[in-house]
Parts: sequence; structure tokens; C-alpha cells
Amino acid sequence: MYYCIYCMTEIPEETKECCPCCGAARSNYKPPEGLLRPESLLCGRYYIGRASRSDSSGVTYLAYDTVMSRRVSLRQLTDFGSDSYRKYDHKERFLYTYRTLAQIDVSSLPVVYTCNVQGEVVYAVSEYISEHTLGAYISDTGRKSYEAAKNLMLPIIVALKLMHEKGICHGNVRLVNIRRTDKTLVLCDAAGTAGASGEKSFSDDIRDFLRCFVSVLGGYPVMADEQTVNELLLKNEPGLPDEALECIRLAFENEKTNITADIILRAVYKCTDIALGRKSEEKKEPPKELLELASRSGVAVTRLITSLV
Amino acid sequence: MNMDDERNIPTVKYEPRLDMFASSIMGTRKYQQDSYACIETPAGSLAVVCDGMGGLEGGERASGLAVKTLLEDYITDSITDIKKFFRNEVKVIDNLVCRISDDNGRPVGAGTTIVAVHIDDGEMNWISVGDSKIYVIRNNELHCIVREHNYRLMLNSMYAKGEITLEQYRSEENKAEALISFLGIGNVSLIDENEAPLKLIQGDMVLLCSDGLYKSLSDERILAIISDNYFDLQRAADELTEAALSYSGRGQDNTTVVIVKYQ
Repeated sequence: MYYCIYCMTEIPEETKECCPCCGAARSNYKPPEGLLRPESLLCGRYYIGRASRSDSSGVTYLAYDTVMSRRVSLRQLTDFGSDSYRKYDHKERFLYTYRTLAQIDVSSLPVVYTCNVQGEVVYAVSEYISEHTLGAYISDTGRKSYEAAKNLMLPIIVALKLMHEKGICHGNVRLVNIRRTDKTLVLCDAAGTAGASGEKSFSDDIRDFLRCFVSVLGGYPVMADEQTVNELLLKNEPGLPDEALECIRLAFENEKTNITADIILRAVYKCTDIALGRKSEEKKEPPKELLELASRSGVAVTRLITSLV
Repeated sequence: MNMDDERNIPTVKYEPRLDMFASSIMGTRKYQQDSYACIETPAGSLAVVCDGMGGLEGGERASGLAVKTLLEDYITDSITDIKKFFRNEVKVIDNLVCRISDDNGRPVGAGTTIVAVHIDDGEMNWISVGDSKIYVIRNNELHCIVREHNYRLMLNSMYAKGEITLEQYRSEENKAEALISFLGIGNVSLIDENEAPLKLIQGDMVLLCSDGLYKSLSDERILAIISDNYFDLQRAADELTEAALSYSGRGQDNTTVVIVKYQ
């Protein structure tokens, strides 16, 4: 079985040099040293494609789950720190981050399927999200009004709120890791090593979010830097309301200031809580007769789930 | 948390917990003939899945009756021997299902499979009649602990004993899926049950399912879905039934899944 490492379509091996589906040439891909070998199988299940993104904490590959027959994103931890303690610590943080992410059900975070260690490879497998980044979207569409930027970025601040409530940082909030689908923006590629001293904190996540927000406002396809933020604070060309400006000022005038997702939601979005709008499952009530029978028999039923009506 | 006075070493008392999750779909059938229940009491936890068969609503009545009878008797009986209780229930329900009749008093010829597990104090007992299944998942491996009570079982046995030839086996294979034991057959005798209780260990999972699941999904896929949703087993149960619907070739049977996690 052979899959194109660029689009993960199953193709005949004799066509692998030029994929008949996406047209990509296999020979153009030269993976850096130390990465997982393309076309190899991890855990006998995940077919490794090209490394689509990399940063200081890890590498993300396009991969194919040969058991579930679907494309996935496979994130490999590469930042193991400088000594064996840090290696253990980073590995545990990575696994803890992705295990916790697996428990958060929101459309602006990719579904995490699994995270594990195979030999020296520490990895997490998530839902595949499109390659269309927020940076590319800004390039295509230019600057946005304050209201439009708020609406666009709401899923991201909600994702960060939910992560921080569970005690995990993202550590990698950048335009290139915010992916655009038909319905929403999705925040991908959590670093998983955040929280250790000298590394990203919850407030850093929010500051990075605000940089992305400023980029959207200004139509910049790259992360807004300090100068851009200062200009915004001085001139306020997009015409931000005072509360939003104050929020940005608070976040950036002192890097040690604690700024939270709740502050942003209150100041920018004027909301104190979020309702995810998830359709709640209609809970079938168990038949009353059974519960009454248990009560008459003196049996304490602590749980009863049944299809009986 | 207790302090060991002599060495001041804190110890944490491990208290095992059971969680139960269920999901059921009709598939492409007209009627839902599967029934299930999970109940937790101080005497232990019981989970049961029944897959009914029989025209019109016969199957639904049969599986519903089986689950209801088992639950009621579990609640009201003073059970000292769970194996004996299961065995007795199977005979009682077999009798009751035989007698299911239509409005004119004519027997409808309904039947149902049954798979049931009881877990108390880390020990599991189970019983099975028919072709629904019980799997134990331990250390990321899936183990089916019951047999399918269908004609294939009989053919395999006869072929192994040399009572039929390979050609005869093959000529009968088209009937292999027909059940040879189910509740409602009358005087049910082919029953799978444990000899000794299975001692569960932390992290074990037990999967009860009707044949709609394993006839659509391979063991590998079933295990992958469960391990991919290890932290949200309700989602695992829902995904199993949805996947059974998506991956089935032609038409999807009623599919019911109950996952019990021992942790």
C-alpha cells in the first residue's frame, strides 16, 4: 500500500514520483535529519507523510491512520531539553497536555485521538485540519474591522479559556497554527512543553492571541510584533473601544502581568461565561417501575442506564 | 491517605470504580430489536445486551422482555450465587420468550440473544446465549470470551471430529450464520458461562455488543476506536455504533454497544 506523502491519497507505487492526485513530486521532499522517515509506519499503524510544520517544540506530520482509514496529524515532540530530568519532564508535560486536550470537546480544537511513546518517539495523533492558515487567510482578505476580527477570533479565545481551565497551556499560538475550516478557526499543534520555568505561560498564550488579533485587524499575514502593537496603542487606527485598548495595554506594558482569557472575554467580547451550544443528548429516563421496584425491595440503585421505556 | 507510623510513608488506598457507557442504533432496519441495560447497586454492577429476532415487533418484545426480567429479578432476588442466578434466569427468560404471542394468542416465534456480565469486588461473571459478544480489553488487546452459537460452530465441530468432509462443510456454509441457540428456542441448552470468576485489574474494559458491531468492524478497528477515545468512553461507544453504520457494506443491522471500565 502506498500513499502520497503530500496528500495521503492511496496511489499506485509506480506513480509515487508524481502524485496523480495532487501533482506533488516525491523527490522534492527532503526531510531534515532526525525526523521520522516518510513512508515508514509508526506503531504498525500510522503511515508517515511529509513534515508539514515544525517549531522549537516539535514537528507535525501529515500521516495516514491505516486502521481507521483516515488522514491524521501526528505531532512529535522534539524539544527534550538539555538533561535527562528535562527530557523526562518535557515528555510528561507533552503527554499530559494531549491527554487533557483529548477531554476537551470544542470545534476550535482538533480532536486528539491518542498520545503515546514508541521507543524514542513521543507523539500525539489528532484530527487532520486543513492546511489553510490564518496567515494565508489574512493575505487573501486583508484587514478586518474590529467587529469582524472579534467574530473571527472568538473560537480561539474560547479554546484557550477551556485549555487554561484544565490547567494546560498551548504554548504555540501563532498564525501558522491557526487553521481555517469552512465553519471555524481551529487552534492546532499545542507545544505541550509549556509551563516549565522560562517557557510559555497562560498569559503568554493570551499575549500571542492578542498579537494574532492585531494581525487580523491590520491585515498582516505575520504575527504582530512589539512595534506593531505599540503603534496600535498609540494611534488606534482600527478604532478599538477603550476597554479593548486597555486590555492590550495591560497585556503588553509588562510581560510579567497576568492576563487571562476571562479578561479578554469580558473586555472585548462583553461576556462573563461561554455556552458551547452543544446539542445535549436527550437523556432517556429509566422506567419508573424499575426504580419503584428497587425502592420497595430496599435496593439502592446508584445508576441505571437502559433502552427500556 | 494514611501515614505509616513506623516509616512515615504515606499510602494511598486504591478504591476501584466502575464506569458504564452505552450506545445503540437502529441501523437501516425498520425496527430496533436490541435492548440493553446497565445497573449499579451495592451488590455489584450488571450489564446486559439482548438482540431480538422475529417478525414485526416480536424481536423487540423478546429482547425487551429479557432485559426487563433480568433487571427485575436482579433487584428483587437475594443472590448468593451469581452463576446460579444467571443460569436460572436464562431458563426462565427462555420460557417467557417462547410464550410471546400476538393479539390472537398465536406464538410469534420470537427469540433473543443475551450477553450479561456481573462485576462485584473486582470479579466478573458472565453468561451468553446466541451470537452477541463479550470482549475483555486488557493491555490494549481485545479478547472475545464467548462463542457465536451459530451453525458454523456446529459445522466446525463436526468437521474437526471427521463427521463431515470438507465438501460437505462448504456446501452447508451458506447456512452458517443461523443461530442454533437463543432464548425462546425452548429448553435452551447451549450456554456459555465462566468457570471461575475473572479477576479484573485496573484499566480493564469489558465490551458487550450485538452482532451488528463485529459483523461491520474488524477487531482491530474496534480496538482502535476504543483506545482513540480512552478518555471519553461515551464517545467511544457512540463512535463504535456510528462506525458500524459507516463501514457496513450493505444495510446495517441494529447495533448496541455497552462499555464497562474498571479503574
